[in-house]
Amino acid sequence: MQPFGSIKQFVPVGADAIMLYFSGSDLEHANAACQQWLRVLDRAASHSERPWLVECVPSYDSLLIIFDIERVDSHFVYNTLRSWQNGGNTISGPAVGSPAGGKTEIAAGKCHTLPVWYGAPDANDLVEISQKTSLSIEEAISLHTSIEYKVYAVGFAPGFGYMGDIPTQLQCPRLSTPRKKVPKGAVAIADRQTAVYPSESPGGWNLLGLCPENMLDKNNQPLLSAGDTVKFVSITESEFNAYHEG
Amino acid sequence: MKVEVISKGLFSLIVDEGRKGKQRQGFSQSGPMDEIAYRWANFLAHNPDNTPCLEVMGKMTVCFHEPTIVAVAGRQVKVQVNGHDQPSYSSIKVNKNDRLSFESEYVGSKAYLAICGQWKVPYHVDSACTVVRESLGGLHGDGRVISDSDCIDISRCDEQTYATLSVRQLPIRHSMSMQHGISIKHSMSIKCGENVAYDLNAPLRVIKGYQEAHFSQVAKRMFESSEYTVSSSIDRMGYRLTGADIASSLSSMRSEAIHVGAIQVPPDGQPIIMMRDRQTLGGYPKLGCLNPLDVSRLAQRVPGETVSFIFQNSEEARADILLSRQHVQRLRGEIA
Repeated sequence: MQPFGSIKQFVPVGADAIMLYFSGSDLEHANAACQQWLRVLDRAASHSERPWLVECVPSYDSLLIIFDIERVDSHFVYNTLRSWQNGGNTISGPAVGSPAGGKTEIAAGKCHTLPVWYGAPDANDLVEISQKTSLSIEEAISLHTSIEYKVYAVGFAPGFGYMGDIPTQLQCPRLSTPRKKVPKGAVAIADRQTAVYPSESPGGWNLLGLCPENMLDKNNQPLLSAGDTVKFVSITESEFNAYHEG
Repeated sequence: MKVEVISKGLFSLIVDEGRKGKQRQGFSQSGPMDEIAYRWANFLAHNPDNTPCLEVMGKMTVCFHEPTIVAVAGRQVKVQVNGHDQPSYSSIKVNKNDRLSFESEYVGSKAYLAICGQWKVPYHVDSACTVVRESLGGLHGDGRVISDSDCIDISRCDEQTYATLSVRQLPIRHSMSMQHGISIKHSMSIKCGENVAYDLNAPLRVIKGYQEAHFSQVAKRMFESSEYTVSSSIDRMGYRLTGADIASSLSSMRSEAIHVGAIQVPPDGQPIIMMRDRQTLGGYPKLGCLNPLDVSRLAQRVPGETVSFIFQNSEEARADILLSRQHVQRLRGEIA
């Protein structure tokens, strides 16, 4: 299966799935290409009465396509994507917002501002982060709040958004031994990534503080979607507590 | 109708076919570990596909507050009603206050109890599946597994319809190997006298893929030619195996989607087969994926047992799957 457009590689995954890997000038563009193809596939599934598409699972620069093995095989999926790329088959295919041409538009997602109580005692690795990065605690916090992050993928746990890239100076490795319990709302960093733990879970990232915002709503809908942007702002302990009372 | 759990066994939970299309939000696929047994249980209990069932490890005892039809399926499951033996893979008519007990002869294997009717259990993210790690689903909606004296509310069909429900039984001659799509040459090991044999000696079929190119020829040959032991680190997320070291040359990669049955190889070289409650994304290299039919077979293996692998291409895998589904369809037609 020859690559085309923004898809740099097709790789078989089991009997009923294929993986698409995307190229781009940088990770943000590869991720945008992934999101663009995901929208095309979603549209196709919603237009079809009995779609062959079972599920799509996007990540940073890859998209897993799971298909109905009784109806189609991986060659059919490849040829269908190819036909959509080339302007599409109007009967079964959706109007593709041309993922072709090497130009990938970065679609505007939602913008979120997430408050963080940095140094909250339940989620505080600031001393360790300071040692790992040779930054002062104040510098680490101000770097973390200095830029907008892109949500590249949602996964690992429900509503867990992988965001990046954090400033290089703040980059620090995972804990050598993961914690058994990271509290709900913990704001964490690892390598060039940052995230908010939606619920209590094990985890190996370095903790900066707590975010009072729920990452999953009452109906288990995640707050963050891939393509969204997030800006963190620092709040005080009393502001954090007021958040819960309000 | 209430079904009361007298004894929960070792670890029991509510499953249906699982969450569909939700992995992009981070929700596990979930669903029955042994999908083939789960489907038979529901069919034999006159339930439509995707009806919840109990997935049970260890010995469970339940009491019925009204007459109904049930079915139990799994690996070598012993079934009793009020102390009298009953067949597995068969409809069983139970009366008011009857006590049903069942367990697999292999500690750690799963048995599925289907109960005819509409299960009045909470649905979360479009499924009744319990996922402990996600604190999701189950009787209380918070991921708690079944405990003693839990009551499951099931609305039974009306008396008239109930009276017409036949006893469905999976014929013994149709061994499980046919449903797993294993050719006869591999299924010689089925023992006579086993009610429904899981052909466990046939190698698990693997379709190469993912980061396959980063595993050496030697590693792949080792993987196919050696036996692996099922370790005690097995759960609904994954089955860790021990055996020949098949580490890949890849030191780091971006997290990507993990399909069911994916063979993930962390730096220690010991494969982990990813199962129903696996995390949706992960960053370890993967050699390929099990044929989906063999995910059910692996799910019934217990610590200390050995497994082996054989590579097949995706066309062969597809043919196996289509044949197996045809066979199941035909069997269902004959039984119904």
